[in-house]
Amino acid sequence: MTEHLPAGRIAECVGGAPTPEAQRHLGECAQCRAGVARLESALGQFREAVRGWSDGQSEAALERARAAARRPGRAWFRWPVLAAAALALIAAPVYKTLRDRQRAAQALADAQLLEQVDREVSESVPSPMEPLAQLVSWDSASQDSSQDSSASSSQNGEVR
Amino acid sequence: MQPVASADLPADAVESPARELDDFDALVRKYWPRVFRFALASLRDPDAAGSVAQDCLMKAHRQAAGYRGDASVNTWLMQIAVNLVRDHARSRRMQFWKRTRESAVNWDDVVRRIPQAGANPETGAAARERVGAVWKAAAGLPERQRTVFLLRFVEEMDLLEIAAATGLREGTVKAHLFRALEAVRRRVEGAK
Repeated sequence: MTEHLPAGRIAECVGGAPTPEAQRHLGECAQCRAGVARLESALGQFREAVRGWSDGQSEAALERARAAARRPGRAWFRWPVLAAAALALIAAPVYKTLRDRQRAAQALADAQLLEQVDREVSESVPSPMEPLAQLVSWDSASQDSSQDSSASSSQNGEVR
Repeated sequence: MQPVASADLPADAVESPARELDDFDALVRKYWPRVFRFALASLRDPDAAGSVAQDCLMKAHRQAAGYRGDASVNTWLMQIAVNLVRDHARSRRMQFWKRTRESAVNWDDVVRRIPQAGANPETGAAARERVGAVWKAAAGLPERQRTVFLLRFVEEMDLLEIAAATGLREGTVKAHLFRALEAVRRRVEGAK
């Protein structure tokens, strides 16, 4: 009897790729055969346990997914969601154009308002007092003109 | 609902895969159990597994036009599922939930599904111990080894199918599988 199979060789046998030497050895060695059988048995029981566990959870999980799909906003089973998404894609450029136009109109209105404010701020007196201010300015204008004429007369050496 | 194994898929699944992908309800009926099972075995969280199975089938249905038919529908779905499970497991949110919910997996619920567990107390205890050893060993495997291990020993896919589903070469699949098996064997022998 040769030495027992090294651990890696047993894994290869269980994994479905035994070397010819390993196969020959398994035919002769009950201990290594038992080692392979133990691992295969454990893996088989593990598979059955996981499958049974999954079968017990699967239906409930599918129902949860379907229930979630029926709730608004989570409709992974429903085409209307895709239709709505497509509609949104089409509507987005239209909405953007309308919004751009609104923004342009608003910007124009803002500019006009600012211009008006600037104009009013630059005025020397408030608009209700404008007639009075005009009277004052006419008066001062006439005084100014008389002062101007006397000044020019004295410059010219004229005597009243 | 019975699990779907590649060996017992109906003939029409192979003959008209594109049409099969178009019929979403049929796709869910036929493949949900298997995709869910793989996700559940990988993530050990029924809610996360349901979410992955849902995303997987939706994605397959939406991308039906991109299905070239190089692999079976089953292998193609498992390829999508493998990627979704990986993304899910890597997400930060999942890491958080993994830590907090690890203990929430009802081990008793898994153990009572073991065929011989109820036969007699002695063999039942031994079976529980062996399955527990595989369960713990699988949890401790690196991601790729665990994926390959589950696809081989829970889904019973062959090496070429696993290679197609994982995008790995057959030799790499073998290497991951043998390492995983060796880790499991050590644990099982330790539990003996």
